Amino acid sequence: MFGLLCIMGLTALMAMCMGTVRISVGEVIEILWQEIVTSLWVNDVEAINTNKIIILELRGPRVLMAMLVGMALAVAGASFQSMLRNPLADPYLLGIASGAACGAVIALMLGWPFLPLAAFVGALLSAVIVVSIAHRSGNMHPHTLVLAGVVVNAFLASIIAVLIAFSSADATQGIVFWLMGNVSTQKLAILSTITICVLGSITLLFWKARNLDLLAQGEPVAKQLGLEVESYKWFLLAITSLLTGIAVAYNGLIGFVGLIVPHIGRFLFGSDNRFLIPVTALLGAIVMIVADTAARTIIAPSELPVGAITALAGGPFFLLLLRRARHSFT
Amino acid sequence: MLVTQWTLVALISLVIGGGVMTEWERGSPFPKAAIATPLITRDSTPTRVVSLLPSLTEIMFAINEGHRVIAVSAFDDFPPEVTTLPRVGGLIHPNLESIVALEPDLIVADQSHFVNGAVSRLRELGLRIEVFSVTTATTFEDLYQVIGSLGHILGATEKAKNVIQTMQRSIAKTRQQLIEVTPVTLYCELWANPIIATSGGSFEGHLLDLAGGDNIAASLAGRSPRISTEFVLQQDPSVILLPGGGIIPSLASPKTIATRPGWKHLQALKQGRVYTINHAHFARHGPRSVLAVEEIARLLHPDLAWD
Repeated sequence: MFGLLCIMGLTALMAMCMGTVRISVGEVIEILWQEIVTSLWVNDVEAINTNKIIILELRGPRVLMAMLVGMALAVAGASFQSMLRNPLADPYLLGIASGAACGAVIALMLGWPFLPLAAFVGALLSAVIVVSIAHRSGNMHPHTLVLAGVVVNAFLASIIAVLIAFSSADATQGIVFWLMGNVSTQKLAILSTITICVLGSITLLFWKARNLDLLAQGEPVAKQLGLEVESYKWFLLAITSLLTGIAVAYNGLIGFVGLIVPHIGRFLFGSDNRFLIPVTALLGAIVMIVADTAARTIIAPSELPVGAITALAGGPFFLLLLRRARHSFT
Repeated sequence: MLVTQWTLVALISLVIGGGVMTEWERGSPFPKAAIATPLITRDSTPTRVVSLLPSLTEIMFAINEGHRVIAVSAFDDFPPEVTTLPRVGGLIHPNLESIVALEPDLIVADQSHFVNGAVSRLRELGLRIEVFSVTTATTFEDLYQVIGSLGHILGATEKAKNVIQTMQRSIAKTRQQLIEVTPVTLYCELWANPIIATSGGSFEGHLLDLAGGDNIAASLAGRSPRISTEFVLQQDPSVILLPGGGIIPSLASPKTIATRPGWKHLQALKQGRVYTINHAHFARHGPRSVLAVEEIARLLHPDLAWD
């Protein structure tokens, strides 16, 4: 775990060196150290150079955002997979990310300032819809759930398409670009709010991770062992929707991270959720930093949508997973 | 195969009826020749012209042949006369039905109209359509060719020549002022979300060069390269130009650009050299493009003796 934390730190450091402008590791450390020192003890240093601006105002916030998004999506995916006992569950497959996107697009079109809130409400609504459709057939069969997710996903995608058709040409371009998934650079105030929300949600999940283990045994077993299954499931839905909503609201649709990272975590550290949740959080952060750095650097000074990169790398992995899953599934 | 195709074509044009001319031009779907040697010998001058591109509308009005225009694209707004004309849809998807219903004897279009098949569909319907390289023009020379051939088709060769000469004189006058100046480094933004810069190989890049600018994005690949804030910070241009700044949310204004993370440290922002420029003059390749050159030159070199 400590090793992963170190790797994450190193990845973040390397990510801050790379980009349109190359900055040496030493200089990045120096700039960050100086900033920590000055913000603590000195108030009036105004020697600004370009590299410092780039690290402190552009790359630093962006790398932090990538970390938070990776954590949010990966942990949401891990929770879904344990809760639904389905290795293919993730916020995207279940239509929850589309719900968030739908809410966000509505907010974008109407010019609401509460875009993250709209995304959260959209995510929660679609989660409730998907789970309740799947529930109707008695116990929640994995296939029914995925099917419900796919249907809700398609339905929401068509709603987004209709909304785009009704919006003006310039708004359309913005929405489409946003949907492709891009790690955005936000101001410090917003970033710290997001940090608190994401880390808080992950801590809550971690705190209740024992229950997630019980739930992963199947609902009847969990009930027999004394778990308040219904209320715990609502708790999980609310937290995962919050995580997905935050990730989608600020960065658009970034696929496959929530699906793949938990599997890597399980492969490396087993499926005990008390380990799995912090491990997937760290792994998710690392994966997103790497993906976003690739997005920034491959065709620098231009940029690729990071959603395209995660999908490009994640697609083959998903197929591999499907092939392996067939043995244990059918 | 070819025979059946032609039979079909003949059939369609028969069905559509007498009001429609059948002017057939075979060959490649990208007829370069259409510009140099317009195919009009048999027809009299067209009197019912539909324009699918604002640039072409402006050129027709500039050469005094605006009275022939009966319908325009959804984006036409100049000269003011066109605002009362019927609209035949957007640039990407012109409305074929309304075009056919207008019974035009000439449709003028742009190379970009090939992309979605609008040109070939209209040809299949037996309509005469001439395609010009307007949006793909990269220099004023390209634009003069368009004006020249459009003038030729509309029987206004002399007037077209006059318009070209006026434009040339205007540019020469601006260039005269700039003989001894050092080009000013600038960043010109085409779109705010994502951030897209004016590249070097485009007509817009050509305008910036002519106006005595040193475009920081000139060497980037593609006609509209997406760039990162880091790149702008590294280059630190003296001037930032925002065509149509703020007219729609997707075009940044001097105010919104200052709120972007990191941008307030740029020279251009510190010295207040962020300017909004006329969007139509800058982005619409046409007779008014020369005004953009002068406008930008004045902003870049305010110390010169402009009259």
